[in-house]
Amino acid sequence: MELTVGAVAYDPKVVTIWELIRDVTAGAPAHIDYVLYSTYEALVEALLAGAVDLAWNTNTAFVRTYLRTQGRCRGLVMRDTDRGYTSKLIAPVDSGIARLEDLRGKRVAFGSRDSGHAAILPAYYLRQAGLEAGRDYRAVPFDLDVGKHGDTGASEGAVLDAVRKGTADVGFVGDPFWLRALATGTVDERELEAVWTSPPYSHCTFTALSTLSEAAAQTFVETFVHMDPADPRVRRMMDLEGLRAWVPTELSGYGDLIAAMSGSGRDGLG
Amino acid sequence: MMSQPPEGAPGAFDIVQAVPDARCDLGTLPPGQAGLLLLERARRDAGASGLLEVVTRHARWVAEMPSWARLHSAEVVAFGDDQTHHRWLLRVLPGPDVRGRPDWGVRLPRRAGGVDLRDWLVGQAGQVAERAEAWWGLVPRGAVAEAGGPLWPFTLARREAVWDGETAGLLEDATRRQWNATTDIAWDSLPALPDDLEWAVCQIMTFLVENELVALYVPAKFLAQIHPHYLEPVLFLASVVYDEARHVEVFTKRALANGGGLQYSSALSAWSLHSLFVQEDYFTASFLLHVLGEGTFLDLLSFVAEWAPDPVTAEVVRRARSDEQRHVAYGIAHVRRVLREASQRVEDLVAAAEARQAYLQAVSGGQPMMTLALAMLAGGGGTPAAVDAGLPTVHALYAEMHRRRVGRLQQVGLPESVAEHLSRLHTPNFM
Repeated sequence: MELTVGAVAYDPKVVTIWELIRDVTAGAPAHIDYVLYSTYEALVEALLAGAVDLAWNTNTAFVRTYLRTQGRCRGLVMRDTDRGYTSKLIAPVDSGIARLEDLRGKRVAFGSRDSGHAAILPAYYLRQAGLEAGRDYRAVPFDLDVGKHGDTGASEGAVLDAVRKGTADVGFVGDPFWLRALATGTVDERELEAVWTSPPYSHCTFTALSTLSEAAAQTFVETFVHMDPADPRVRRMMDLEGLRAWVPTELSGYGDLIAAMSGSGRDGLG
Repeated sequence: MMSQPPEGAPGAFDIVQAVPDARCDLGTLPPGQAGLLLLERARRDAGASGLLEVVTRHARWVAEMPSWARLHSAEVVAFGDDQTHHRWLLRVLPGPDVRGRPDWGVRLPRRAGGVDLRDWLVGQAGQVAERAEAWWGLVPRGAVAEAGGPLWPFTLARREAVWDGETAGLLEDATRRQWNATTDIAWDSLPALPDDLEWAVCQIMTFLVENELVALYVPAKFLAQIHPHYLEPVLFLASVVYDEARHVEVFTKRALANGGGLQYSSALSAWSLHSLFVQEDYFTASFLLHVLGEGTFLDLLSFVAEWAPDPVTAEVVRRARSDEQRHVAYGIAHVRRVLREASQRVEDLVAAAEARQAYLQAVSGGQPMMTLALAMLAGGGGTPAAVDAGLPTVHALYAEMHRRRVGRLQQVGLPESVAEHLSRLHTPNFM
């Protein structure tokens, strides 16, 4: 069975990733081909128009599809690292900030406005805590990869820089970016610390419309979850894509983002 | 054993009897590069499906450990807190970087003279696999390989094709007997010789240099094809290559040292050596080079050492011969073992020797300069009488070469009739 997946070219390595997937699935039950788009908005439109069978979506793009179809879509497969994703609030060490409520009157740095983990969900959790941008805190946005939904990491790097340099008091990043910055020593743990962690949520997922047959959906899921990382091509793809295994999508992890993006039509800080 | 957290502590352990496979005490380090590096090692040490206990006195880890676990394929089994310590018990999931546990505490035995290669087959480093996988690549035998690396194109990747228990001893011998072609030869004692004898020595050296070059290139070619899992033959062939480099050096120096110089090279030599150079099968090439070629060279070098007109030339040749003995011993052991395990491979040896002989039959000419030089050495000079007197000794050498070649062929396990046949097919170039 041939299935075409749409994905966003947020980095040159995306071509390598998808060529590898195309190669390793050549003899698999679902042979994957791909089409690249420049933005997630274009990708979602392509999925809705039937130009691709599935979309490799960020959480923001999944929820956008969900809202556009009134729920007539499904998440099939995600990276193991997409389950239980969290956002971190980063502050200078010993800033005295420990809770979201402490951000009243502060300059708060966010990643690109369409990034689920570095902007939309953090702003949502602030609203839940009773804080509105402009009224209770000053948002310092870094809209560096709009359309890519924060995939490039460029805006998260800018958030950490702003907090380090003091042009913002605090800032939000995703936990993979934060832990990678700590592990590689690009962040000095004597300078910056995570003072708050969001509730866990789901991040990227392969998204299909309800019109995709159950048989095709099952074949797709099985092809992905059975990829063997001992195969050098699979290992390389997984390292580039940032996972150790493909797992079935945890749909329960999108509730907060659906709530954040519902009604207002906002896809970021508004 | 995990300690019991205080009564009613949040997330108190249910599992108090679990014995972790690895433990990581982060002390008072905050989450940062140092702590994350220590955690990474402990995760690997816990092994696939192993239990990892993490203890810290820094509260910041409480928020970071769930993220770390998620991003590193580990599941939090239990978490506990007391006033000062935070503890996690994590289950490490199998993954390409968590495959097995390396050895620890395996010590090599000591023998007089140091740590000997013959004793190093211990623990996982001593487990020589029947087949070496392409993805193991350069991973040292005994180390834990991370899966998903490149596939390495080593074509000699089966134990029976390359690995012998005896090679370690030969390698120790090679290391012990290394010598220096600049300082270990008493070049200052090299006497002036009559022109005829100096010419004979220079002609022989010319022949030796050319032949030793093939003995360098052929093992070098196969060395690069042997999977590094079979480390002993790789290291031994590296010693062979260096031995031959030294021979090329010392024979060239001898040809030039006394004002003679390099002399004539024959087309027969070139074709004969070319027919060795183009061999693509390690087993047959090893047989043709080490057993037949270098074996025959042992007799040639004995002859030159015996009739050398001066002690320096004799010493040069004697030292080279000592190295060659080791190469021949390796070849005999290698071919003998393969034939013991796969007797039908005799046919490959016969076919290779016959094909080589057929290839060389097309070559006209012989070794007149080399034969003359050997006769002059044995006859003690270049006069007609001396050459005439030396030739029977040269013919006796050829007969002796044949007799001893048959002996070596029988040593590798060939029946006498086959040994006779193969010895007669052998190249008049000796190598």
